[in-house]
Amino acid sequence: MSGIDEQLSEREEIEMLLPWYVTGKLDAADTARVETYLQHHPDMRRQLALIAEEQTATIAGNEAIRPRFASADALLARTATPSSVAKSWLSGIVDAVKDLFQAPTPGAVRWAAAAAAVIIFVQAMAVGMLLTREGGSYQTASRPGVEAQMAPVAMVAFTDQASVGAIALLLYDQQLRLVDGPLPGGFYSVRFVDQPSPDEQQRRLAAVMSRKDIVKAVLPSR
Amino acid sequence: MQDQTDDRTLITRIAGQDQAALRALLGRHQLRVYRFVLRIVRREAVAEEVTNEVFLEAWRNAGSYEARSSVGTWLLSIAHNRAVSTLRRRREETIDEESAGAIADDGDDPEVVAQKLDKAEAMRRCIAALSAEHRTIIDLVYYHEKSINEVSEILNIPLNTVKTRMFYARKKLSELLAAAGIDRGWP
Repeated sequence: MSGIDEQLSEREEIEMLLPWYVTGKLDAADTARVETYLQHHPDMRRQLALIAEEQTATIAGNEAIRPRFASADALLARTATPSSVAKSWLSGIVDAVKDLFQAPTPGAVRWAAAAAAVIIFVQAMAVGMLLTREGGSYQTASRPGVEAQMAPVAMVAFTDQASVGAIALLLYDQQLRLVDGPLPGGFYSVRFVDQPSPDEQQRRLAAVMSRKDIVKAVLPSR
Repeated sequence: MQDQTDDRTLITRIAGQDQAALRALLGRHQLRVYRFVLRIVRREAVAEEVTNEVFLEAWRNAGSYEARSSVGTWLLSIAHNRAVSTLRRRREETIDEESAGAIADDGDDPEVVAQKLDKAEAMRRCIAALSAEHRTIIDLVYYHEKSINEVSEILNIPLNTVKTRMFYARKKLSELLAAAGIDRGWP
């Protein structure tokens, strides 16, 4: 009985190694072990054909995926964002804004001023990014697709506890820009800096909504 | 081997904030990483963003790359972590269950499906219908041609788990094929 168990166990172990035997990714010792087993158990060779079939189908399934990647420039532009230069610039501005609002002014005035600072700050960052991406040149507003890009996509209300820096980072991370506000109810209109796909728009707005510590509400604009 | 040396040179240059090196790394690995991620998250826009995040993480952490594994394996390991956490965040695991019934979704019984599809197509569809866990290991072994050690590193699971997971993924695949009217005589 124990002999049969051992035999079954050895068979299962060999069976488990076969995918890597077929792909040539077994080390020398296991390769020798599999080959010895196959010599004594030729019925197991049938598995090799099944595995080859599975591999062919897996490769075909992967190669059928043919994406059209956006230019690497957008990604390269993002490499500058969280790293030292942008971060220290960001920290500097956020600190300056914090200092500015240390003075004991009425809450509503502080909030309105903070919102204005956010708008200026985010716009400055976006302009800087565009200049970097466009290699220092500029484009006029008649560029194709720019009208759709300019349209607000949502109205966002921020929590009372949200700091200027947190709001700025959130908008920047999700490539959003404040375009109007504060509107009745404390909402601000936002639009995307770039032209994301509908799925991507949904993903980014969901990411904004998920930040309950910063965002009170998000309403779609269109 | 030459490719691996070149990849490591690229990582060294990326650690020095060389954007041209990152562009070259993208050229070499972006497609494979994207395919790997897409087969996990299943949504193109999400896969594209996760792929971007993988290369941004590589950019930020290139200095800590220790060359214990190939750059391709390192990138897939980052990709797996990112894809799985994205999937968890979006609670899309239910999609796997939906897609597990993908063959039945055709509204045909298995025999009819088998008649409609050639065996290779049925096989591709059944692989796509596996759970994310099983599909991922099948992809890593068959498409990315990773060794047991490399799969263990990418998925962060023990070596024996790699072997058993692959075994059960293949078994499940055979069951799905059998349900589609294709009996392979195994298991």
